[in-house]
Amino acid sequence: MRLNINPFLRWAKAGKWTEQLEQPEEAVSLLLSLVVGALVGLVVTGFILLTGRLAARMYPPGGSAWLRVLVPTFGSLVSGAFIARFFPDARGSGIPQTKFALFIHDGYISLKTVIGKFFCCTLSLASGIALGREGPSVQIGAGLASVLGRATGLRPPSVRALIPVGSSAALAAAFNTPIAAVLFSLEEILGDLHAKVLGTVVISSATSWMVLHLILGDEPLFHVPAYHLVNPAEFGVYAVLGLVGGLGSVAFVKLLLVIRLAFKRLPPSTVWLQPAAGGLFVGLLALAVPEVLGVGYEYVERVLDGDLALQTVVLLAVLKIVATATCYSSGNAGGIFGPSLFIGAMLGASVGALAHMLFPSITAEPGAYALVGMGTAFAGIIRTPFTSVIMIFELTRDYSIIVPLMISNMIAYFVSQKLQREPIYDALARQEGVLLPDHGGDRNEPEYLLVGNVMRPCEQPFPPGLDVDAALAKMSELGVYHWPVARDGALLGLVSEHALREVRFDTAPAVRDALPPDGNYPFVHVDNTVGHVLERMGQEHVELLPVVSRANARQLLGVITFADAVKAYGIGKADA
Amino acid sequence: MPDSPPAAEAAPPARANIPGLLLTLFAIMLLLYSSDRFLAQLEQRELRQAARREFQAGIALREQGKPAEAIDHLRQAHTLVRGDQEYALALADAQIAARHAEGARRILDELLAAEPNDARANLLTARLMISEGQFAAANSYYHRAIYGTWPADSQRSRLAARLELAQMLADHGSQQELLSETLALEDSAPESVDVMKKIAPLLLRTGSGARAAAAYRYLLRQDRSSGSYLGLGQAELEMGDYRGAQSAFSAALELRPNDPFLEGQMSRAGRLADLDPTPRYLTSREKFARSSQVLELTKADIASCLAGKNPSAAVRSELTEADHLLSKRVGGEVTNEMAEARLELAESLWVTRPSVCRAPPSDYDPVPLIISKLSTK
Repeated sequence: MRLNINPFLRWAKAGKWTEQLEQPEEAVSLLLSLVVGALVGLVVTGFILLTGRLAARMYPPGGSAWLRVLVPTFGSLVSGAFIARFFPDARGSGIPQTKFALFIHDGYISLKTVIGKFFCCTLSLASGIALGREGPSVQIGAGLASVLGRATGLRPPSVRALIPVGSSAALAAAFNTPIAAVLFSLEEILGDLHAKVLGTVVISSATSWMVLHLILGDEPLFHVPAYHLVNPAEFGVYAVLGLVGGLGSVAFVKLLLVIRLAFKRLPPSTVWLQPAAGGLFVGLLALAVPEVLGVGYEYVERVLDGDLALQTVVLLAVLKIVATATCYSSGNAGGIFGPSLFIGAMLGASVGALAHMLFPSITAEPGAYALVGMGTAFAGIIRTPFTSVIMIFELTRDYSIIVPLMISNMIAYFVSQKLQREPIYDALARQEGVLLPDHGGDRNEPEYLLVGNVMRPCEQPFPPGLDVDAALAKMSELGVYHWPVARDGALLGLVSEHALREVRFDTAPAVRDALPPDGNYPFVHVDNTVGHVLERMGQEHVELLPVVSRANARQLLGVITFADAVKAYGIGKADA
Repeated sequence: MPDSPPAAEAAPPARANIPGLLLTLFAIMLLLYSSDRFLAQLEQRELRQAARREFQAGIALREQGKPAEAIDHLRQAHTLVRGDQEYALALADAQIAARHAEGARRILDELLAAEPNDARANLLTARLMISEGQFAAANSYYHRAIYGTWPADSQRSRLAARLELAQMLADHGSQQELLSETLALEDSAPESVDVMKKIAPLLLRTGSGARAAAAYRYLLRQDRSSGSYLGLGQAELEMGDYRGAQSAFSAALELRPNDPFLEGQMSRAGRLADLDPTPRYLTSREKFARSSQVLELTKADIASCLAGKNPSAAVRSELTEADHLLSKRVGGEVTNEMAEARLELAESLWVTRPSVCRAPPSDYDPVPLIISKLSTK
C-alpha cells in the first residue's frame, strides 16, 4: 500500500503548521495548569499539615490556661512584625490581594509574597488566631501560578489567566471540594462563570485534589451525619435560617469593616504591633471560652453531630464574629472562609435547636441546620451563593440537601446584598485604596471597545495654581469643556469651563477655586467599556472623563472624550 | 500598595530555559512530596497517640461507672481517629449508658450503614433499643449480632450476645422465646462452668425444671457450691420432687449454715413433701389424709379472702361441699377415690381464687405448687 502524503504537503505548504506554532502559549498554559495543580496541591497540603503540627506543639495536652492568652499574642506579634518588615502583601486573607494581582498587576504576585504568606500564616494560624487557612491558600496558589507563568516566559495576559488556575488548585486542596474550588475561582476571583479559563481551572483543581488525596487519603474536611428532611414544613425553618444567616453575615461584615477602618486610622508606625492586639483579644476571650481559638473545625464537627447546647452555640456564634473581625482587622494573616463556616454552623444550630424545641415532630436535629447554616453564612459573607451550595453538597455528597441549601443561601445572599451593598472583598480593597471591577459589567464587549484602547494620554493636566484665563484659553484651544487638575502627578479633580467662568472675576482666581468643594470627581478605568463611559458621561453631564488606575484613583493614566467614545463605535470623523 | 511588578518584571518576558525549569520544578515537587509525606505520617502518629490517651481516659471513667464523664474523652478519641471502630463503639456504649440515645444512634447508624453485619454495632444497637423499651427491635438486633461478623473470638462473643439476649427475654420476652434461646445456648455452649452457671438459672426461668436440674447437677459435679444446691433445689421444686428439693436445700445449708433464705426454702420443701398427695408409695389412708389437708388449706385460703363478702353461688356451693367432705366422719376402709374427690374439689376451688382473692398467694404457700402439680398429672 502506498502512503499518500499529498494532503500533508498541501497543508504544510499552506503554512497551517506555522499558524499552530504561533499559539504556543495556549499549549504551555494547558500544561502549566497540570503543573500548577500538582505544585499548589503539594504546597497547600504542606501548609495545612505544618500549621496543624505547629499548633499541636504550641498547645500541648494539659497545658496551662494562660497559654491560650500568651500563644496567640506572641504568635501574632512575631508574624505581624515579619509582615510589616518583610512581607507587607502577606497581610489579611489573600483573596483581595489575588484580585488585585488579577485585575491590576497583570497577574503579578512575587515569590517573596508567596513565601511570606506561607510562613506568616503558618505561625499566626498555629498560634490560635481566629482566622482560616483557605484565603491564604488561594493567594499562595495564585502566587505560585504567577511565578511559574513568568518563569516559563508567558506574556502578562497568559500569566493573568493562570491566577484563577492557581486559586482553584489551592482551594481544592484546602477545602477538599474540587468542584466548589472551580466555581469559586470563576464566581469570586474572576467574577465570570463563563470565563475562557474554565478548562485549565478544572484541570488544576482536579490535579491538586488528587495530590491531596495521595498524601492525606480519603478523609473529608468534616464528618457530616446523614442529612434528611423530616417534613416539608421544614422549608419554612430553612427560610428563617436564611434570614438569620443573612443578618449574621451583615453584622460580621460591617463589624469587620468598622474595626479595620479604626485600625487603619492608627499611626503607620504601629502597623507591626496591630496584629498583636488581635492576638491578645482572642487570647483573652479564649481564657473563658477556648472554642474561639483557631478556625474551630473540631467544634463545627461537634455541632454537626448535635453535641452542643443552644446557649453554647449562640455564644460561640457571637464570640466568633467578634474574634474573627478583630483578628482580621488588626492585620493578621489569615482568611475568613473557615470562620464563615464556623459562624454559619453555630447560627444554623441555634435556629435548628430552637425549631426542634418548638416543633420536635416536624424538624430534624440541630446538626442538619448547622450543615445548611454553613453554606448560608458563606453565601452571606463571601457572596458566592452558587459556590456555597455546591461546596456543602460536596461535603455531604447528599442530593437531598440541595433544596434547603438553595432556599436559605438565596435568602441570606439577598438579605446581605440589601443591607451591605458592597461585597466584603471589594469593601476591603476600597479601604486599601483599590477599586476592583464590578462583576456585573459586560465582559463580552470586544477588546477594541475597552477604555484602554480608546483613551488618549493627558500629558498636561492643569496645575491647581494655574490662572483661570490661561486655563480657559487652553480648553478653548483643545476644544473641550472639562479638563483634569493634578499636582505632582496626583489627580485632584475635573474642572469645568462653566466653573472656571464663574470664578473668573474673583481676586486672583486659580483653577483650584473652580474644583468641586467635596473633592469628588468622576473617572473610569482602562478595563471599563466605552458603553460604561457614555453612561458615566450622561450621569455626570461631562464630555470628558479622566482614566485612573484601579490601584490608585489619584493616578491619572489618560483621558477619554465623548468624540473618542463615539469614534470607537465607528461613528464620526477620523482624527486628523 | 499591593504587590506590583517591578520595572524589570513589567518588561517583555525573556525566553525561559524550559528544560532547566522543568528539572528544578521536578526537584522541588519531589522535596515537597517527601516533606508532606513526613508531615502526614507525623500527624497520623500524633493523632493516634492523642486518641489512644483520650480513649484510655474515657474507658477508665466508664469502668468507674461514670459514662457521662467518659463521653467527652471518647468523643475526642473518635474525632481524632475517625476510622477506628473501637473508639466509635466505646463512645456509643458510653452514650447508651449515659442515656444520650441520639448521639449513640447516630454513631451506630453510621457504623451499620458502612457494615450491616457488624456484630458489635448490632449488639450496641440492641442495647440502645432496650434502653428505649423497644424489646422486639432489640431481639432482632441481638440476632444480627449473634450471626454477624465479630473481629475476634467470635464463638465466645456470640455466646455472650446470646446470653444477653436470653437475659433480656427473661426480663421482657415470652417464655417460649426464652426457652428457645436457652436451648440454643445449651447447644452452643462449650463445657464451661461459667457459662453453665448463667444458663442454669435461665432454664429454671423457662420452667424447664428437668433441664435446669441437669445443669445444676453438672455444676455440682464440677464444684459443690451452695448456689448450685440452691438452684438444684429450686429445679426439684419446679419438677415436683419435694423430697429431692428438701435434700438439696439441706446440702446447701450445710455449706452455708444459718442462711435464713435457705432455711425458709428447706422448710417450705419439707412442708410440700409432707403435703404432697401424689407419691406412689403412699398408702390410701395417707393419701386421703394429705388430700383432706390440701382441701382444708385451699378452703381456708378462699375463706380468708371472702371475709365479710358475699361469694357467688358456685363458690358458695363448692365451699359448702368442702365443709361437708371435711366434716364427714370416715369410717372403715379409705379408698383412693375418696382422696381424688377431695383433690378435685380443691382444684376446682383454686380455680375460683382469682375471682375471689385480690392478693396473689404467698411464695411460701404450698397449695399453689401442689395444685399445679396435680393439674399436670
